[in-house]
Amino acid sequence: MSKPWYRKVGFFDNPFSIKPSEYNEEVIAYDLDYITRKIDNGQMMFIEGAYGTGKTTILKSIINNFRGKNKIIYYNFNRAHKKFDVKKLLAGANSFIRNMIGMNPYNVILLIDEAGFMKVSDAKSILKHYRTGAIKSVIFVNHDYSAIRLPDEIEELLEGNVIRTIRLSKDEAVEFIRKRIGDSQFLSNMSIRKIFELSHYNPRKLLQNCEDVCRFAIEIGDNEVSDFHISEVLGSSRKEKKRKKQKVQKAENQVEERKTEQAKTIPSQRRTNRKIKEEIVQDSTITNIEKKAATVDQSDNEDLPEYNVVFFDRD
Amino acid sequence: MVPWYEKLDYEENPFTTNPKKFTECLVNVDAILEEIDYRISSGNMLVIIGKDGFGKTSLLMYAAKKFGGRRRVVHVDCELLDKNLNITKVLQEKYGIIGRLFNKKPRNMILLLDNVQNLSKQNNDRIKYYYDQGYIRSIIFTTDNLRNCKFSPSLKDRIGSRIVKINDLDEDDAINLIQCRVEDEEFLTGEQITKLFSLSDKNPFKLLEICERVAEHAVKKSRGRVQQIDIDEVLGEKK
Repeated sequence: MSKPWYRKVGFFDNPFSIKPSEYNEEVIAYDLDYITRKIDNGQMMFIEGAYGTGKTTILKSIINNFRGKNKIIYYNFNRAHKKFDVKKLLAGANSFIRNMIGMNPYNVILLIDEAGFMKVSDAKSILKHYRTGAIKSVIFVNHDYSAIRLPDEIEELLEGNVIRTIRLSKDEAVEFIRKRIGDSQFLSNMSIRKIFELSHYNPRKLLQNCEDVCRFAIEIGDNEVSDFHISEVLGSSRKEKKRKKQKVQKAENQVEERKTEQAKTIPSQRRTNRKIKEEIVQDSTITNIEKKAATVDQSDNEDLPEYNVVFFDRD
Repeated sequence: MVPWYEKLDYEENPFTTNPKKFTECLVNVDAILEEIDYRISSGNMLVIIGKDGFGKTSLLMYAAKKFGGRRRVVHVDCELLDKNLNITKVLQEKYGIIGRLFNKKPRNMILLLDNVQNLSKQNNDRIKYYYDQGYIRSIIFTTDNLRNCKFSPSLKDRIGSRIVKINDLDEDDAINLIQCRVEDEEFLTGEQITKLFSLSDKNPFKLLEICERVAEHAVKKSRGRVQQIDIDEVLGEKK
């Protein structure tokens, strides 16, 4: 196989990767500073955003930010038939010694992803431990705030702390892509704007579509993306690509599904793009602690939340 | 007892259905192979849809061979997984001791999830998480039916339109498939292959199986070529 297209234009890796971890300076649709302050103040928060707008990216940024200071638990509710047990989660986050001598965990930051699957009883349980100080701050994340059933007390605590996706402007979309590819000439700002529109203004779709369009253009030997490439790849999803090789048949079109899931964006507060300095934490002590987490994980107890990723640092 | 193919001077069974063998003889999937190459290199996800017996696992074995050296490839057949099993453990075991994977670098695992319609929702979600965090570089899923896959909406969103389907074979493909493996075109003629192909529901796996039985039959009779009577008798045995 010949080189991937991005190598031909001077990148050693895919510049349009959708992985949140690759480019976590890049929180585009939220104000990370604002969120950090809220966490520092021990507040609860709700982050609402459509798929592909950067929720996981921001969680990753939060983790990076607080890693040196607090225990962080990331918990994803998108699971069926399992009981959520805050106590056990917290016990997992507590250091071995603290557990041994009977001290409770404290100041833990709880990140709740896909909170749409959370039950009211789960929320109440979180609230209880929040009030005791075991949990310092909770950040609920979901693609739709209205889809969640929350007890009144939590709704009160969340007042003023519901952060919604802000739809990127076309210029911001261009800025977003430029951060990835610099001033490379193979993709013009005009093309980025066009692709952004065809991606229904969704950042992740924008990345994926830029990748597919650039790949097509470079692979057929052109130097720059043009309208032709855009319409070939995105214009009509059923259209055959201009290749000498055999046709690949794409399966179900998932566009309808995605369309209904995209949140209506509300242009509300201003946010700023900040570059977050990435601190590289040396996790030399992590071996001891992950052993503990592993023990929690491997228990045969059906009620154990068996998927919790617990982040630690120097204790 | 000498295997039948050795009597024809083959070192191994040319009609083996072992997906690790003859990955260079996959037919009608050039575009998919390219897609696999690219999606793995670029750190993407890819779903391959294909009916049973059409080579999904073979495609994964191609990927395993190609990328196995530089990066760590992990193949998981979800059909064999206990539904309650935490896939994290499976990945840790398969990745080897050097990767205490989820706590250390390197984070370059290429995950091949075969028959992913059998993977539980919880495990799908874990996979998504590990992918997001960069522990898994790229994922290739195979399935016979996309609707039966328990992908969460956010996982589906990440997959996007990176879905390909294995096409049906036509007669030429069938002939190429067999003759790539069996160098001697006289042993089993194109016409015979076509016949056997239609008798195997145009399913490559079944085609290989029936070719083997027919070949074995011919060799037993000390023939250097398959003849109609071999086909007839083997088909007769079926009933």
